[in-house]
Amino acid sequence: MVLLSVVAVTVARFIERSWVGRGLAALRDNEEAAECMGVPTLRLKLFATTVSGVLLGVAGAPFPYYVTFVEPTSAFNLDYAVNALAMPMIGGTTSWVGPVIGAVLLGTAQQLATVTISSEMNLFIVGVVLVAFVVLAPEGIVGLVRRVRGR
Amino acid sequence: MAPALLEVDGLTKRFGGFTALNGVSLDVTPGERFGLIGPNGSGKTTLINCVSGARRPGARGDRRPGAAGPRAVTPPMAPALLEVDGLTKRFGGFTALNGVSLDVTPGERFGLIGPNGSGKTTLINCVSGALPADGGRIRFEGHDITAVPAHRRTRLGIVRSFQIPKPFTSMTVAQNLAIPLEYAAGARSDGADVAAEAMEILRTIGLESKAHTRPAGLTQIEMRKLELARAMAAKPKLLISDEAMAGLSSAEIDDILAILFRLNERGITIIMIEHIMRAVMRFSERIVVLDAGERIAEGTPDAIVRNPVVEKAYLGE
Repeated sequence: MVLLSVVAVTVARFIERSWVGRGLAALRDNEEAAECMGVPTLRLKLFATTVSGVLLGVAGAPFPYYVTFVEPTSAFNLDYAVNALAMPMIGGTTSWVGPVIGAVLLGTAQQLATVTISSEMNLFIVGVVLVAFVVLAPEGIVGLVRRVRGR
Repeated sequence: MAPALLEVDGLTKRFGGFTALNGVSLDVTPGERFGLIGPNGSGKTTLINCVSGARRPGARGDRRPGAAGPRAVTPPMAPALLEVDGLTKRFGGFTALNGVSLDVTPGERFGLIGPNGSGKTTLINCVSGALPADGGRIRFEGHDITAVPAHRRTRLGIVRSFQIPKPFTSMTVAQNLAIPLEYAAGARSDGADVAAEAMEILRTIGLESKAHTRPAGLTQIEMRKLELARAMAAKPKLLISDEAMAGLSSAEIDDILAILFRLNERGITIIMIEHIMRAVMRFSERIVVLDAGERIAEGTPDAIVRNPVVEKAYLGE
């Protein structure tokens, strides 16, 4: 699983620094302008969806070995989807480091909460933190750091 | 206004000392039933031989379409860079464009004017590919591009700027230019080349001091210049400037006009859409006027100013 995350982060970093990444950034900023500047927006969107899908799909492969017991309600639990969204939102969506920071922070916080308070507090914490970041720092931690540095 | 299917222009053919055809010109429009008569030996068959490609025309003969070979009888034929033919666009029940046709010749400074809501921006959106047309054809350099997606049209050389500037906000000014340089102008070589070329463009447009700031820190005129600079970076053959001057002071308008004149001198064809009459009239060589989705007039700036139909469209009766 460590290997998988290293691969995923490497892929993200590689894409971000390539011309594909620059095209995706343009597309994020303004889709119409990107298309009019020669960026094949539909193709890039498909590419991004495919790569994300592949990485998430691959991440699902070791999942049964990790939890040792799989049944529909837990495997299709909302937790995973919300976590997958919350981690990049908290860390920052505009850079490859963002999701890494978000994953480390959120994962640690959840483990701490499970041990010290109760396992039910997990989702609550994710929810509160997610709302706080969306309202106060929509660019995530990476965005916050950049803003502070920019001043 | 249909363009001719076949244009024969001053066709001459000699057989030794005998001149079989002496500067014959004729036009055949699409779908026409056309007759060609004359006494024996008048040159009818020679003309047909030249048109079909069986005989080469003499030195000053100019026969379009297709210089080579027989059966080259499909359009394109006119030397137009952009041909819009019967373009129609509806939004639900509202007809924004109703069979609009226009030609833009290479190197031309072309003005497109009309009252608010007359369809100018819709026309540009259809030409640039941002909106699909509901009817009619668009040809660029003789190729039908009606079904070509917008980013491919940009690569072919049709580049537009936006009425409301749409910069890439997360990037610096120079990075904004790198996108069209990489994607539209095909400069895939990373790093130094792209950066140097971006700086070069910024210098010509007078924006190099802002190269490393983000668009959020730009003034209105700088934002307009960035729009133009980014369009230039896509290496256009046809630049469509959609109200690049709205809301600017007259000194700033002169500034933008000077940039557009300079681009035109470099051989870029420019379509200018503008409400500021002083600017369009000074800039354009030819103007087309739209009103309520229809083309109501075409002519030189002087003729347009004196045209009663145009006056009526703008001022009412």
